[in-house]
Amino acid sequence: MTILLNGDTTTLDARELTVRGVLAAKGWSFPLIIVQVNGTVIPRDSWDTAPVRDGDRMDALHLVSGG
Amino acid sequence: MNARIREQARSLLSARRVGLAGAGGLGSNCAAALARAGVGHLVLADFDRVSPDNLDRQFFFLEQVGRLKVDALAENLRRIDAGLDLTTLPERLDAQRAVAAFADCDVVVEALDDADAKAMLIEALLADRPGRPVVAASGIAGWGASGKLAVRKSGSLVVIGDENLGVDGSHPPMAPRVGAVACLQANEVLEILLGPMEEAGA
Repeated sequence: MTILLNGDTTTLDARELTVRGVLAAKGWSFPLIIVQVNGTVIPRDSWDTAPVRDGDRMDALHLVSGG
Repeated sequence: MNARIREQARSLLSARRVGLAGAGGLGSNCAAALARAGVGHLVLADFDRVSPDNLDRQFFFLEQVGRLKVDALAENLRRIDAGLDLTTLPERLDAQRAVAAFADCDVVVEALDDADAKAMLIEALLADRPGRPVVAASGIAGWGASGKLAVRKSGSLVVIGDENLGVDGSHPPMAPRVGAVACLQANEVLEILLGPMEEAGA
């Protein structure tokens, strides 16, 4: 499937993945990430079930401390 | 500048309400920029008190050490605009309280320190009201590397910073970079409230 991941066209070797599957495929293991799929926030406790499909837009935004 | 456009912008902003979660390096400086720009209503939430260490980057003064940040900030903002409508919440907001505290806000600025707290707040606000803008910050520590400060937009969420340098022993928070991100947050709030600016020559 091909998705728009953080603004970049990205092809992944699967027909469909979960949010956690996309993060794993990219090797992103930052402790704190906000994930949005098609502009809707996906809470952390839904990452194992929320699907990401061909044509979707997924953004992963990395949070670090400091304010 | 065209005085009419300035007055139109200030008139529009005077009717808007912006929430600030956190009144530290980001929140205090962002609030000052918003107050100067003419935003009429601000909701300020922070449980902390002003410490001497805060004065290296936060919008507070020596004689305010020991006071609640929201009270000291309200006082400073009223010295900029005596007519500001301010709501001060001297408390640590959990997800439920944050949603209630900022219910009437047109935009919420995430200006917390701790990464876990940032994530909790952002997820709670976006889940509660999809489409209501949240302007967050991530990666403000250290100095220099100005060009690494980015503005990333995803749906109604804006994240400003380098998304890399957290505050730690090697990367202290310092006034210029923290202040730059705080002002970029305020700048994004203005774009959300006023719409994109017409470009020169357009």
